[in-house]
Amino acid sequence: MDAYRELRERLVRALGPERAAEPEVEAALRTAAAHLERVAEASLEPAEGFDARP
Amino acid sequence: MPAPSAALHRLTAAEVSALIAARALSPVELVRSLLARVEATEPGLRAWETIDAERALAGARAAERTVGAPSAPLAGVPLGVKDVIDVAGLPTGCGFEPFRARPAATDAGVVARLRRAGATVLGKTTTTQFAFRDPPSTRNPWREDCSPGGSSTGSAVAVAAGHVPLALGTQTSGSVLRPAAFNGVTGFKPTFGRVGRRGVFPSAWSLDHVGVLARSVEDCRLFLAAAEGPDPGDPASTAPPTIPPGPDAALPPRLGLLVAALDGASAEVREHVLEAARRLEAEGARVEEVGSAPSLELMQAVQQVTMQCEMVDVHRRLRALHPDAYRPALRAYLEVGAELPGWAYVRAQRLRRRLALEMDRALDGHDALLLPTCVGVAPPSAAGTGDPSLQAPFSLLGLPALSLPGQPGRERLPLAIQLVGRRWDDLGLLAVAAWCEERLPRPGSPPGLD
Repeated sequence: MDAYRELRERLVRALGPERAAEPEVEAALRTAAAHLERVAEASLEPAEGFDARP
Repeated sequence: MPAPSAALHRLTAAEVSALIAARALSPVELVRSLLARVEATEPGLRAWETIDAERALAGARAAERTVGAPSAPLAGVPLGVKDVIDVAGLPTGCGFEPFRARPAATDAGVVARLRRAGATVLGKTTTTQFAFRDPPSTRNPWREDCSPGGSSTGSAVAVAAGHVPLALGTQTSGSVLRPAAFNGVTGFKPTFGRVGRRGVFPSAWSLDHVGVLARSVEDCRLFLAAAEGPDPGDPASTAPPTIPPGPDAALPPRLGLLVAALDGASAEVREHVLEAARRLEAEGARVEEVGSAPSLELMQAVQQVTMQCEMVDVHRRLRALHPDAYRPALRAYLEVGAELPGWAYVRAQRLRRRLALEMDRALDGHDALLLPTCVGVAPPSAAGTGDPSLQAPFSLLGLPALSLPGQPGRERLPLAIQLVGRRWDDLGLLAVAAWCEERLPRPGSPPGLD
């Protein structure tokens, strides 16, 4: 998954390309995309057999 | 116990309380002395949003009349309150211009409880806007070119500068412990739900904690005793459940050194924590490396996704009403957060449960975890309020955490260690921290503020 690209597309639609390209938005976008990617890729199964399913 | 002639601005809350109970110190004299100190040093520090001198003096006079009352363990203790927490009659500005002229009708639950315990509110301390990361103009008393941290910025600076012995803060990522570390004071965040948040402007409901900035671990214990308990105005607050007894305060603790937290820390911070571990071990503590703890990076990512989604909801209407009143980093953070997909929040909560179980396991067999509070000392002011990566995991998991200040390092800035306890074992954590505090060098006062 390319979280950055997906999130940026949503932002451009919501804010317009100019605002989406402003440095503080771009910085927030990069940080959020990195967190999103990590959350998407992490396993829900805990190590060594803990049952963490909701 | 220090004589009342000792510097009043350096007394701990416990010392103030004991002196007042013994009628060796007048609460009015204390408040007058602290107000004079604020007047002399505040222009260079900017720790306060509002000073409420008249009502503080009235409160001190009332405290003088109730000296010795058994229900007043904080009788006459002056208190700073972070400006996201309601104090009746004063605006809760949140660093947000549209709120600056809007006085709160009633005290927040925690303020009301501390007042019942005898505390006297001196005023409202500065905060980053809505407790996010855009800094206020507050200065670090150790080095004015460096960040005082955030978001409980004014509370940490006011305690460090000798304006008040005790100040309330809030923590969603690292906003109590990090400013505590950067300013050389003690910071404590109890277990999630232990202290109610009615009257506290929310950042993120499932992460927000009320905590305290103080001059000693004992003062954190006094705060907790006065502040804890269920609050009908905060559905997340609850009475602590019965848990197995915590560590015996008289015995050396069993500490788990969270080695993964040292990897990303500066060499100076790493050496500080390892030196503290060596000293504590030499005094009898058992220090064991904890190798298999949940990933710090994943915990931070889960915490951030959770916080960003919840903050978007908190600010949904306000943003529409006052889009231009938001500081740049917060505005951008909310704009980006509004576009995060719903599955990300759901998945973050499922991961949160997994991480909580893994962290409980990492704490098994230890009275507390030992790690740095921050990855480095206070950064230059222009670089922001500092990195929350070592505090945010314990906000995410709701575990009690405390920052214990150490002596300044090579850059003349305080260093600190962090201790993290088991869920609801706040008293156990405070016992461990008191044991450590007795055996480690203290930071002293910021230069020129003795």
